[in-house]
Amino acid sequence: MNVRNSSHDYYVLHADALTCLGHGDALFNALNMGRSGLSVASDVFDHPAIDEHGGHVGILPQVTGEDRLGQIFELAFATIIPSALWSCDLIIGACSVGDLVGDDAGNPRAALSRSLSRHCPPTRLVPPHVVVSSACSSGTDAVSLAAQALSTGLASAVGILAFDSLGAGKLMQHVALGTQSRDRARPFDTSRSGTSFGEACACKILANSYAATRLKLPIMGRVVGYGASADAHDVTAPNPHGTYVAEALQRACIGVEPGNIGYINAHGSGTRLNDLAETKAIELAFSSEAKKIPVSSTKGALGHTLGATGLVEAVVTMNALKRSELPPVYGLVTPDPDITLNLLRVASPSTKPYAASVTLGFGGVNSAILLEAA
Amino acid sequence: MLECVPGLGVAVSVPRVEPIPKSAFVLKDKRFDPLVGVTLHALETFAARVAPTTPRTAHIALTDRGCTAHLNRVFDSVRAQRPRQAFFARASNTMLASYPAMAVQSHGPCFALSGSTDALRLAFASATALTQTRNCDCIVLIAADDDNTTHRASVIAVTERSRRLYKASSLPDGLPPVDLLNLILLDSKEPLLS
Repeated sequence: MNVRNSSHDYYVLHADALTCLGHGDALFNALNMGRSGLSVASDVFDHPAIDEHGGHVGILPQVTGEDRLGQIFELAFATIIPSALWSCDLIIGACSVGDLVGDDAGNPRAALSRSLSRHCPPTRLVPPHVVVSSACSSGTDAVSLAAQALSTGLASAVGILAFDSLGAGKLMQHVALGTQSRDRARPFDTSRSGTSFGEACACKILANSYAATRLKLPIMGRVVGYGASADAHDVTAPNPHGTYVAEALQRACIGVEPGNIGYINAHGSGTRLNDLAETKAIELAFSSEAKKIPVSSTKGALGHTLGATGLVEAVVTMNALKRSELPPVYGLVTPDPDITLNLLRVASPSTKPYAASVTLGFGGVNSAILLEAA
Repeated sequence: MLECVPGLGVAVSVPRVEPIPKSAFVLKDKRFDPLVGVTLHALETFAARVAPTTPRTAHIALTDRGCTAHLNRVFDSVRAQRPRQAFFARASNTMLASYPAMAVQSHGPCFALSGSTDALRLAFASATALTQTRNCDCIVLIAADDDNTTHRASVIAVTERSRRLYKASSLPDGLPPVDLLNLILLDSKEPLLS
């Protein structure tokens, strides 16, 4: 891939995520070895509603209590967030609701502002920052918004920070909603019964060619396209036909032959409705190629990390392309016969230049991005 | 109180002690936050008196604190260790964009931004890019926030006119987005119609 001087080049200079399975090479090695970072919820949280029904969760073991985002940011700044963040013209945060207790309860932008102020070096200024909230698609939308900021000249380098926390109080809500599996997330499996929620922080830096040179970071790859749509169907359930998810995927992949797409990181939350709708969406978007494109979901290994999940998975996808190794679906034992996708059971080599990542959020918000390896 | 600038946008405010005006939208799920209700009222007026939306409209919500009524119920439920999952599922900022999309049956992008003038700047940039990449054919900005006494929502169409007004406006940072949008409406110097 050549570095071109174009306002429509969105170079990925950094991509890492802090998850229950670690970060950096340890994370990607563990994913490809088919390991999971999920823990039994009742081992982690002492709560009557969670004992029997809590299933598994993807929490960061170093984080304690209910006031979690501050701790998560401390860990993230020590591990996955590079100093180049402070050279960005804009920081786009992504989160759904954040903590449900503490000074910044329900106010993820305040939590981000507080952490940026705390960690900004004394010789620098905190860059302008906003937070995008689109439920489970927040992280994916943050990547799209970063590309949009670059393409319109609003910024030349954008730092993206997606984050969310899972305390006992939030898990209790999901248990009551029926979205948290009493077992564990088993994406695309016949016995799937819901997802396994978790928490994480992910960081990407996107830049145009000018800033890519200025920041002196190696180019990992490129955001090639993005797409977004709304089901306008239901607050919690996806449109079962996958029509508008397909539109988001098609928009993201415009100009690229489906035969050149080597991987789709699916939302694959492990709920009965999501996995079927997503299958139909991929079939609609890619027609005869749909059954050939390798697909996996990493939620069985990392959990559904709420507002962070879209960027965690974009990071996984970018690194999968960089390492030419695609992660498998953890938790998949017996594939649902109605799901006719090319599901990865083991880590597989990547042979094509492009990969897509797609998320479906509460409220019917669908977002997709297409990435290219360097 | 409802004010409308023809061809540009609508601003609505409802005292918190008063019932939320009902809109004529047919929604199977009405368990939305009161701020969402006021937003829908503003959107209905916008669609009738400013510009109808299309099936490919993008709804970009801008908010400082989001759905505080639902959030406060969720916080109480966490303290009491009793789930209030219906409120939880409808408490995130994105509901300020998702419910409008459901109300008008529009399938363009929808998301919420928080961050005062930076968020507004990004919203206008996003509007340009989403149109250029054909993710939608028109964009509506919805700003909504509660203060101690009032629910407030404003809806503005992203057009050449609103972009010109935005660029010409001196918008102080730190204000809730609904105040910023209202300043743009005021700067139009058009008469505000009730």
